[in-house]
Amino acid sequence: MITAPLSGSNRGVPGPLPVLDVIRVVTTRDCFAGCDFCDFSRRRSRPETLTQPIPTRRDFLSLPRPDWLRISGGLNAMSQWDDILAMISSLSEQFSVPVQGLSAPEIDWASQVLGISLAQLLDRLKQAGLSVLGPGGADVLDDGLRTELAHWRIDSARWIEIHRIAHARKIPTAAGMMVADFLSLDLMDRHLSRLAPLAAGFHHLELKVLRPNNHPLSRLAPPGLLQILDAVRAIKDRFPDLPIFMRQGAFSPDAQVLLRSAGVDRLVRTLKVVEA
Amino acid sequence: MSVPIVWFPRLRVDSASPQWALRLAESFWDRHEGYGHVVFGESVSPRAIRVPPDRSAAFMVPEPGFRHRRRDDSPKHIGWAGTVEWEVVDVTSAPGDPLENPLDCDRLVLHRRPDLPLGRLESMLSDLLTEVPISRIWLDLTSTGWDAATWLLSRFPQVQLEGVADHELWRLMQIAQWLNRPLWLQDAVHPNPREIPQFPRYLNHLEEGG
Repeated sequence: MITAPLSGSNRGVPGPLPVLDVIRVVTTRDCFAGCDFCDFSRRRSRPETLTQPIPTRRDFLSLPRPDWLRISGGLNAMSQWDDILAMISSLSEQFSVPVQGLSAPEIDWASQVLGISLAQLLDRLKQAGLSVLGPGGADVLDDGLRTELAHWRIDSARWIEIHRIAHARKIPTAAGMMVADFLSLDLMDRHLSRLAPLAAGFHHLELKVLRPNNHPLSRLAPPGLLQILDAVRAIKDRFPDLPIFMRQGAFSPDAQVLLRSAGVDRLVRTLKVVEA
Repeated sequence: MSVPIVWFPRLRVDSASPQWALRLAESFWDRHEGYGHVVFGESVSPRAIRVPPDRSAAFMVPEPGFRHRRRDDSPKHIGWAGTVEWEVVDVTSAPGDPLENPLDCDRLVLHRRPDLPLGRLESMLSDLLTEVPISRIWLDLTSTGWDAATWLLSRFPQVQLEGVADHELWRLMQIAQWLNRPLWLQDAVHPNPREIPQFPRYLNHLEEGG
C-alpha cells in the first residue's frame, strides 16, 4: 500500500497530469472475441466491413492537431487488412505525428487472414508507418483469468511472442495492464513479472481502468482509487523508467495529483473518434 | 487488529414543523436499524420534540442536557483553513464562542475550503493531528470529495468520513477491503458498533487457485 505523503508541504506537490491528445481511428467495432471487459463485445449493429472511405487530413481539419494517432479495431472475418495497411500508410504520410495502435490479437488475426507470418506483417506495418504497436490485448497476462473472461482472445504466450517479434524488428510496443475491482495486487504483480523480459522494447505502459461501460462486466464496481494508485506504484517499482500512460477518463484534479505523485506520466485524451 | 473504518450515517433535518422533522429522523433511524446520527437545524428546538435516549442526535440550538452542534467558519486559531463543526455533549460555553481546544469536543468535523489543494489539505491535517492527540477526527465528505477523502482515510488512521450516503456505502466497503480494515456502522450513542460484512470478491476462485 502507498503510505508516503504527497509532500511535507504544499511545495513540490505535483499539479495536474500532462495530456497527450490523440485522434482514435476505429477500423471496426465488430469483434468475435467477445471479451467480457470490452465494449466491442456488444457492438453488433455495424456492418462487418470497412464501409467508409479512408479518413484524410480534410476529415481532421476542424480538430486541434493531435499529438498521436491511434488505430484500433475488433476481430472479424470481413476486415480488409490490405485497406487497413493502406490507411495507416495514408495517415502516416498526411500527419507528421506518431501512429500508434493495433493490438497483438489484431496482429495475430491479420497474419492469419493475409496468410503471412507475424514477422512479415510487422515489417509491412513498420513500412506503412506504424510507430508503436499495442498495447491492446495485454489486460492481465494470466491464462486462468483470460480463459474465464476472454476465452477467444490469444493466450499470454502468444501476446508475448508477438511483442518479442516486434521488438526484434525494432518496432517499439506499448505494454498494457488492466486494473479492475476483481484483480488483486498479486495478480497484477504476476502480470508485471511476465512483462519484465520484454521491458527494453516497451515505449510506455498503458494502465487501463475497467469502468462500467457497454460490456458484460459493467455491473461490477469500478476499481477504487487506492487500488489504481497501488497498481501504478507496482509498475513503477518494477519498471522505474517506463512511462505510464492512462486514458483521461473522469479523474478529478485530486485524483490527477495523486496519480502523478504515484508515477503516472501522461493522460491520454481522445479528441475525436473516427470510425473508418 | 487494524483500525476500523466507520460508516456514520448522518441526516441533516431542518423543518419549520418539529413533528415533521422528527418523522424524518425516525424514518432515518428505522432504515439503519436504530443507528444513524441526525443533526436538527436551527428551526428545531430540543424542547419541541422528544428524541428517544437510544437515538443519536445533535441540535444546532443549544440547550443544556442535549448534544449541541456548532459551526465556525474561520477557525484559524486551531490551524485549519476551512469551516469546522463540532459537537459537545454538555453546553457550557456561549453559542458564538470559537472552538478553543479540539480535545474539549466530542466530535470534530473538518470541512475543506473549495480552493484548498490536496497537498495543502494533507499537510494541514498532518500538523493538526501532530499537535492535538485526538483519536478520531471527521472529514466532511461533501466538501472534501471522494478522491481526497479516500487518500486521507488511507494516510491517517484517525481520520473518518462524515456524510457517506447509503447509496455510497459500497465505496467505503471497497476502501475497507483494499486496506484490509474492518467496516463498522456506528453513531454517537450506541456503545457497540456493528460490523458490516464485506462482499465476496468476484473471481476469488482464480486467486485461490493461484
